[in-house]
Parts: sequence; structure tokens; C-alpha cells
Amino acid sequence: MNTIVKSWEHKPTVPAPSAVPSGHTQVHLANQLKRDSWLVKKNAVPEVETIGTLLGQIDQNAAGSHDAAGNTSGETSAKETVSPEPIVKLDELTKKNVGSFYAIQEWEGYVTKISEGTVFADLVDLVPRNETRPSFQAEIPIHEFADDEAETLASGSVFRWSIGYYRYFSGRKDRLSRIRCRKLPILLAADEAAIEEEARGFGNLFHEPKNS
Amino acid sequence: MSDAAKPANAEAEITLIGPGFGESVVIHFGDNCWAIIDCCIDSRTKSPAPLSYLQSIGVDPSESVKFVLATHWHNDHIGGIAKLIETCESATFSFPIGFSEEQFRKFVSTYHQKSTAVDNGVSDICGAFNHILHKSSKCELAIANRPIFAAKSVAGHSTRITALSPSSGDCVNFLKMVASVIPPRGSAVARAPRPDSNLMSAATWLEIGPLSILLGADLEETGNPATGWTAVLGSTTRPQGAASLFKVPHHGSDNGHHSGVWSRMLTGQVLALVTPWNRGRGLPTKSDQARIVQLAPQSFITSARSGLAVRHGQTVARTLREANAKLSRTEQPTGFIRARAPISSGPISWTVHCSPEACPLQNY
Repeated sequence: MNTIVKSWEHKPTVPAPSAVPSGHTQVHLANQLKRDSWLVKKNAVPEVETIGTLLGQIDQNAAGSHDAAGNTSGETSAKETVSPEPIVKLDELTKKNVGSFYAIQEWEGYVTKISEGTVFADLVDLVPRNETRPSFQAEIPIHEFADDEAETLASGSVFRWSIGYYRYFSGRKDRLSRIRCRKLPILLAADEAAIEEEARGFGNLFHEPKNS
Repeated sequence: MSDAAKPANAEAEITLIGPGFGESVVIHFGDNCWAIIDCCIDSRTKSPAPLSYLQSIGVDPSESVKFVLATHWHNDHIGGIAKLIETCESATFSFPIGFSEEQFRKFVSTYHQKSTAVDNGVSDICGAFNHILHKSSKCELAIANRPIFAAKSVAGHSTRITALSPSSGDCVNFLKMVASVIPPRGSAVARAPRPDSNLMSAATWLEIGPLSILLGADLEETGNPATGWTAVLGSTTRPQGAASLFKVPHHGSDNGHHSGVWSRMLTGQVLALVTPWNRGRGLPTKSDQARIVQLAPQSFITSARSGLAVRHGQTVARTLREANAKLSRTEQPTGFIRARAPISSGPISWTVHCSPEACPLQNY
């Protein structure tokens, strides 16, 4: 679902961007929007609807730089109006400004042992090369894993290791090594029924089946 | 893989292939009839190495392979076995007896239904089972001292393969392990675990006319009279005799060694064949190498110590370097050692041919 960010005519009631609590993604987006002012459609026609407080705050931050009066801080306006047309979709904004990851190399890994800060793993190359799938054994410093994942990492954990470039909308790109632990499937009652059936079928393979 | 011609009708052949990833033994027991024990993947063709080998010497596996045995479920012994079983249309199949047990079948199904890209051979076993079901075939179960294959050979000779293991003690330990790793309902299913020990490995005694051959699989020595090589040596019903060719168990590892095997089951001039294992500290170690060469001066290994090169592009190589991560290829180049001997009542004389990757063990 797309979330619509609209411009506001009123004077902002929220702190200036620098005072907004750090780490708030949407606020960062608003700041980004402020910098990339061309994203915001100018001369927007006011009055359509009011949206939630947080988005309103973002909008205020975002629109502040485009206020015809140039008034971006301080006073509160009683009337809050918004544009009838979406100026920019948040999803689009996110996509454009955050960028995309392009993997050059990907492996699926399986942890065999963790010892003295090193993760020992078997890797299978997921990038098709002449339809081969070479396997590797790897020693990876545990700090290459996200902190929360490193805490729960254990023998048997499955992860995907990607190396590639993160390309930002601005054109900048960063080389990136990204390891993400795979959420393992949960064995459900329905799975058990299928397993029982398959296992029972395998019992027919043998001249002397047991316990079947 | 080989540009040699296939053996003469009255010539036995034992070819040990490895370790593209694992090992396989290809056996000619006369009249263009073949058996295959275990399967591995050829590092070049990425197809089952025994099939590549047979095709390279002009043998049609679909007609000529009469018997296939998977000695145990570790993926260095069953890599590609589903394809092998699908191809060998005229073969009968055998698995260790524990494969028929409900716990193992559930274990295979559980990890197969929730498999990952690195699945520890479970998909190979499942594929093999499904191909056999599709053929409406039945499997012989390998358990200590049971003949699992018999056929007529040339000139009135016969061929017989007898399982020397697993013992009942091996099976109990294996099934305990399997039961302990089947996840309960509601829990996460990780990759199928690979146990450190080679529980329930089927070592075999092969007789082709007057020739006796001991194929050690990955059977280990535990010191327990009910399991491993001690159980084999303690058996009063196992085939008697001394083998002139020995596939050394478990890649020459110390934990597959039992001095009684060398003194009581092998001839003094035995020809010993080994495949290496390219993980962890690697096998055979220098001390394993020295021990085997001392016991069997005529010993060969299927691949030299150097592994396949790891090639990455600049970006990946730089990232790995900066992360201080180390990667090495699991596979080594696939090589083979071929031993041929006439099936006759005269003196036994093996003629050995090594592929370019293989070498005498003392040069390893």
C-alpha cells in the first residue's frame, strides 16, 4: 500500500529537523526530501485531507523549505491544509533515496562450528556458473554477522552471504558484504502428516521393512 | 575420464574414484558385468563420477551395472546417487539395514521437506528412494555377515559381495543418533546434521573367483566389541581368507585403523587404495600416510594434496580480504586408481594404473 505524503501550508509545529530525534527513519526521509527539493511538487493546491500526526510532522519538515513565505519555523497555524495531489509517494521516495543492492556473489551457508570468534561454515555457491554449484568451507569472523544474529548463531544455522554493490539514487555506490541468517522453517502438524506419509511409502522399498 | 579400453571378459577390475566430492568404487566381475559401491560427483563434469568413468571406457551403465550399494548416508559417499540409480536400470540396490528403520525414513523425509541448498545428502537419499519406488524394485539390506549380491562370473567362477558391517550395535547407535536429531513439532528445522562419526557404514568383502577384496567404506574402530572393526574381527561367520586389495577405510584416518585387519584379513603384499578428505585438518594426515605406507608399500591415493583453486572476481576477493574471511574449495580434482587382475586360479597379480591426479601414497 502506498502512503501519500502531502504538502502543508501551515507553519510547522514541530521542531526543526535538527531537533528531531535521531534514528527515526521517516524523519530522515523528510530531511532527505528537504534536501532533494525538486522531488516536491511546487505550487501545490491546498485543502484535501489531514493525515496522521507523524506524517504530518514529516510533511511539515519536508514542505518547510518550499513554503512560499519562506517561513519554516516557530509559530503555529490554526489551519492545516494539504494538497489534493500526491506530491511524492513514500514508497517511491524510499526506493529512490535508499537505493538497491546488486549482488555479485551469493552463497548459502551452513554453520558447522563456532570457535573463538570464528564461524566455520559450509557454503554453496548460489550464482549459476555453467550449471555448477561448487562448495566451499569458510572461516568467517563472527563480527561479520549482525549483532543480534551473532548472539543466536549456532551450529546448524543457515545464512545467505551476499557481496556486491549498494547503489544509491544519487549515483553513489558502496561495496557491501551482507550476511543474513535465514529464518528456519517451523515443523508444523501439517508437515508431520506429509512426512509420515512419505516415510511410510519408503518402507515399501525394503525386503524386510521394520516398524512400518 | 579415461581413454582406456574396458577390461577383458575374464579380467576383474577395481577402480577407486575420488574425491571430486567423496569416493566411489567401480567393480568389474567378468563378462562386462559391473557393480558400483558409493557415488561421488566428478569435479569436472559435475555428474556422478562412476557413470562418467564407465562411459569413458565404453560401458553402458544402464545395461551393464548389476548392483549398487550406498555404504552410508554421508554426502561424500552418496553424492549423485539418485542419478546413478536412475541410470542403472538393470541393477539391484542395497543400503545399510538402518535405512529401513522408521526413524531414519522419518529423518530423511523431515529434512527433505524442509531442505536448504546445503542439505547434507538428504535430497540424494530421497531421490534414490523415489527412483527405486518408481521402478517398483526392492532393496537388499546390508548387515554384518549377510551376502548382498551374488552372480556367476567367468569360467565357472562366481562373484559374491558380503556385508561385514554394520553390526547390530552399529545400528542401535545410529538410530539413537537419528532419533535425537528429528526436530519436535513447533521447532525450527535446520540443515540435516552431519554426525562426526561414521555410524552404520557397510564394509564389504568381495569375492570374484579366487580374488578377495576388502572394501572398508568409512567403518571406524571404536574399541567396543559390539561395533566397528572389532565387531567385524570378532565375527565367526564372516567370510574367511586374505584380501589382496584393500580400500582403506575412512580416508586412511587413524580412527578407521585396526591392526587386526591388516594382520588377519589381508595378504602381506596387499595393494592399498585411499581417497583423501579435504576438510578440517584433512585426511590422511602425515602420520596416517606413514602408517599405511609402512603396512602396504604398494599404496596409492586418488588425488594429490593440492586442492582446486578458488577464483573470485576482484570485488569479491577484496571484500573477503578485508573481512579476514577464508574460503577454500571442498572438492579436490577427481582422480582414479584402476587395478586389474585376471580371474583365474593362477597367482594373483594386480596391474595398477593411476590417473594424472592420483599418485603413490608415499608421494602424497
